[in-house]
Amino acid sequence: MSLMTTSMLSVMLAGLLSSIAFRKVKRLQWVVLFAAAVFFSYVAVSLYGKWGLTDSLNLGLFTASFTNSYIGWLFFAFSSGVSLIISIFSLSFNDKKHITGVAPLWTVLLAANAGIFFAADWIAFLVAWELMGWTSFFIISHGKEKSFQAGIYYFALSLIGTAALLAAIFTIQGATGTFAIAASVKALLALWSTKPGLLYFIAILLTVTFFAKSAAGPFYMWPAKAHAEAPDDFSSFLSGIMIKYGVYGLILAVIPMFAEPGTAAAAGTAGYLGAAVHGTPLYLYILGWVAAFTAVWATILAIRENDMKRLMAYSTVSNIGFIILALSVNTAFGIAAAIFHTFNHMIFKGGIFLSLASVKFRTGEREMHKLGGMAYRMPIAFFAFLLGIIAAAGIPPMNGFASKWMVFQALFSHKLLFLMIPAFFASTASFMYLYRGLHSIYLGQLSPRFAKIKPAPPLQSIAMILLMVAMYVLGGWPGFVLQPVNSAIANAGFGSIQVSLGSIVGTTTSIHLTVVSFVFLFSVVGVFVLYILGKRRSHVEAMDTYTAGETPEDWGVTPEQYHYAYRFYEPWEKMTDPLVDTVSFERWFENIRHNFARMSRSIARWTAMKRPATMLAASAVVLILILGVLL
Amino acid sequence: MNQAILLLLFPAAAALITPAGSALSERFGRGLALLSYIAGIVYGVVLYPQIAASPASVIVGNWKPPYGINLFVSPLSLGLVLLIYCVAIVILVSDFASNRKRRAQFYLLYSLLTMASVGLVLTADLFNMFVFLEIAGISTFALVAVGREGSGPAGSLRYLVLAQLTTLLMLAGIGLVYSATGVLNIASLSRFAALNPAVAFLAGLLILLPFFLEMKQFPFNGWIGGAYRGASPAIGATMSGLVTVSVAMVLARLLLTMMNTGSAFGDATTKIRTVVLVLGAATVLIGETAAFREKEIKRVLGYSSAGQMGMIAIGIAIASQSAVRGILFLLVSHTIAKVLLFLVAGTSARLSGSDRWDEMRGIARRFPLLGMLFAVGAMTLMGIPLFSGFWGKLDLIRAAIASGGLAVVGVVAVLIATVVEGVYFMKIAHAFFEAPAAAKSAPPESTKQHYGVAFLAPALVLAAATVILGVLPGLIDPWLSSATAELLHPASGYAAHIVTGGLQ
Repeated sequence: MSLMTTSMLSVMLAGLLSSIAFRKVKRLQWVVLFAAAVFFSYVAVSLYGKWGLTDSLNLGLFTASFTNSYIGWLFFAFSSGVSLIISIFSLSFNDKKHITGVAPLWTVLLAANAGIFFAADWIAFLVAWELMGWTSFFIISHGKEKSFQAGIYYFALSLIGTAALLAAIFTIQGATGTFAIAASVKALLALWSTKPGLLYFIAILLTVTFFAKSAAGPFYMWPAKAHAEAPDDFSSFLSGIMIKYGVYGLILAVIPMFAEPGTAAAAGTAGYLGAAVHGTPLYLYILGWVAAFTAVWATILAIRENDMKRLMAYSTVSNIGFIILALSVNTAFGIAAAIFHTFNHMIFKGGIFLSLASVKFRTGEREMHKLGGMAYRMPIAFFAFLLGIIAAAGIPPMNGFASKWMVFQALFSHKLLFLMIPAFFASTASFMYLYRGLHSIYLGQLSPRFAKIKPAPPLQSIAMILLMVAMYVLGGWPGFVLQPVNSAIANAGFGSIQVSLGSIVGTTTSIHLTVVSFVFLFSVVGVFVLYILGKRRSHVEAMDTYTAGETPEDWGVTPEQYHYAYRFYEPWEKMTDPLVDTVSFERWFENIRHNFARMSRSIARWTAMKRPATMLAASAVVLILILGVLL
Repeated sequence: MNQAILLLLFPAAAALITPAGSALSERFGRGLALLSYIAGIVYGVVLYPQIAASPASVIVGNWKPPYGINLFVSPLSLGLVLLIYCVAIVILVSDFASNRKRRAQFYLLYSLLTMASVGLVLTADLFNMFVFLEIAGISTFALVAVGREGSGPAGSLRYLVLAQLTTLLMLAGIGLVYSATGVLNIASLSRFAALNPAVAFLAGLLILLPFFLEMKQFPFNGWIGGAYRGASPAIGATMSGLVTVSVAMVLARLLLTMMNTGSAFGDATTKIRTVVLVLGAATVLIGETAAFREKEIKRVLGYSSAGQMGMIAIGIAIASQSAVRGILFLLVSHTIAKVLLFLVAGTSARLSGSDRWDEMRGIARRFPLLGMLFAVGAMTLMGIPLFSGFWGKLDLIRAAIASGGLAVVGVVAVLIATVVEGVYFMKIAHAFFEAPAAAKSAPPESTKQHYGVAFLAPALVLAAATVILGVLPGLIDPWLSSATAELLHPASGYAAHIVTGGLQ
């Protein structure tokens, strides 16, 4: 038993035990979570370089196998690192006033997280997937009615995904004869000439599973509900890490199914032989359009939001759309771009959500128009949010720029210009909601209610600072991530790209990100120097400039009411109302649920009524007798 | 080996002696019943190693089969008998925790029901099966009627009417078979020359009818609502946990061992199995759908049982190695989980004063263990890993997809049902854990209530069992293998031991 299995089992056990042993002293449960995150980070470090290490767990009825694949390790390492930073935050966040009892479940979830990335056969993957599903449901709904509505929505979609996964796994096993993931995908590749219909069926099932988990396509609505209601520190984990499981699944099983003939991934088999659009397989091209729709739609919905967590949840969905769009191009560059953006998103979205959690921790408010001026009281949270949105918008020197640049380069490489239009729209329109968050919460008038709040506690600040540093470093020196990613995708047979520590060679041009990063840094430093050297300044109250010298208190308007933040984008809301009303998958799902409930009520009532029940049984018997006599 | 009949005699003796002894002491009935089941378990455990080495056929009354009745004691039947006894003990112990005063007749009927269930599992003769089925039906009817004023008798009456209808038809089917073949022994029938296919189809279906009813299959499950509303939680647990073990096993025995292509039923077998598959798929969908909006918790569990039994029927109809392993595992895990859920439901109903789960909100805040036990039972039924239901469902779905054809309909039904039952079980689990709104706080008198060890001990044992089986499914692997082989290959196992003699 190697470190992979021992770590997973021990962490799971620790989580289960801490729920019983520390139920009176809940803070210790959070210490256990922190210890588990540290342990997993250590495991990640020690497993580096040991590619192809396998391990198995004999459970009597079957043997679960695990492997340290390069791509799996990358996801595991990043998720462990970000989990560690979040757990540091949580240690401070869960004080007497804010503590929730979700730490043991979260610990077990960390173990499931490892299981998903290390699984080498479908059954182990399924077990880890299901474990992740129910623990996250209980965490999201954590005992509150409103949270439960969000949680059960998420859980129902998750169950649909699991049902599709079950069907897919056994169809794959029936077609290829094996449960091993890598071997079965290879075997499927050989079937393109004989059974393309079956392969499309499997691809659709797997797509449903992974899209449901990653909130792409018609499943875009669950993060907004779930993120808003989940415990604040968990929202960071949900948005940063959990939503990426679908992306990992796509890279693991769906993308390799479409390997082009001649590439390393298709070695030994004929490879994908079907239709292609500009070199992209047709199925993946359609997925790309779905992903582009997701990105655009989520952006439109994000701009309409007033609740900061819901807004950021839609932003996550939009970024997932980007990631899947990059994946769908099906080249080494696209896959590298997708993985890089995944990790970048983990970092900057994690930072954004932690910053929001800090603000909520100090103020108790979540709606943006009730906040304002937080930059004056909570500078570190402000900086974390600022750098986070710069990264999210894809502006240098933060890490978001490099990965978004790569996504667009990937689209260029296959001349997918029509797909670029929604992608550009989503990317630039994101400025609207990202800046809104910054303005409404951190800039503007500080409400007198919050004039005396303290800044973020030290541990929370440390967590945010770590993420900020990561954002900057990865922005200027992307090679830290991209070089391992490059080796990983080459290892998996997807091909490779040209990267060095500070530069990337794209498909139309190359870019030297360190230079870009230093240019921005020196510009900022230069402006700051000018500011210091400049003429004397006098401090003016924000309200004085804002009101052009008038005194609004004369006519009963307080500074608070002057903070223009409520329904910031009302014109946009009015503009998109008809669109949102017509295209509503949410209403479609709600209709399904409603009709199902009606059907359930009538069946229950009908089978409970005396006469129909007996009549039905009697008529069934008569039918059988007739059948028996006739046949 | 004639002593193996003691397995039947222990509960029968308990049933017969109870009325007399109760004249002396009020507690006599419960003590004797428990004692007899414990004796049964001890005897069974002592007997098991011998049976695992070579199954035995017990000939009753010195008439050799196929003319006489015999019992077949094999790892499968002995294992299930032990399960039945354990469940009976668990349910009776938990019943002590309820506030009902049980009279002697209750324990008499209960022991009769247990004896009948054990008999159904052990017997190898069709008519003997019919007799035990009637005993089980009448005892169930009486036990359900012991429930609340009005709804108890009403629900049980509907059950009785439907049950009698179907058993009457079973008798007709048995008559048909007897007149056509002259034998009633299951092993003989499994190797008899083929009947006229029309007769075989008709007789086969007729014989299976009461088992469709007991397993809550679709056109025959109109009795679930009334019976589960009226029955006390212990009886609900018995119907869902104890009787289902025997009835599912009999269905498997009849459909797999007695009716196969080399048997008297010949080619009608595939037709009958198709009917069972279709009915099973319909039951799964209808059962889970009916449970979705149901607010009375015992009825939810009853409809959920219907769904699970539908899955077992689908697995039996597919009749492949994986399928049969899957349904045996499902049967064991369902029994454990359902009994646990009924225990929790009964205690929650008592503590909150209502039968509806939406009026039990927040009960797990006061009694966290209740909520966790419910979650454990629910997740077992949903087939979530770390709990035992997962492995059974996995095998079943795998077998269904592998066998293709109509079985795919079954798979779709099972997958839809998984989503639906996931949603409603989690709704209930969440209602238990919900933090009560500040306005409505718990009624003060209920803070004095608590559950005793009579509930806690059996519940913890069951929860531990399902977790252990979920994490280490290999523990019952040898049993599963021998049971599957016995069901699917009658010629080498079952029939060989009975028809060629066996022990005196």
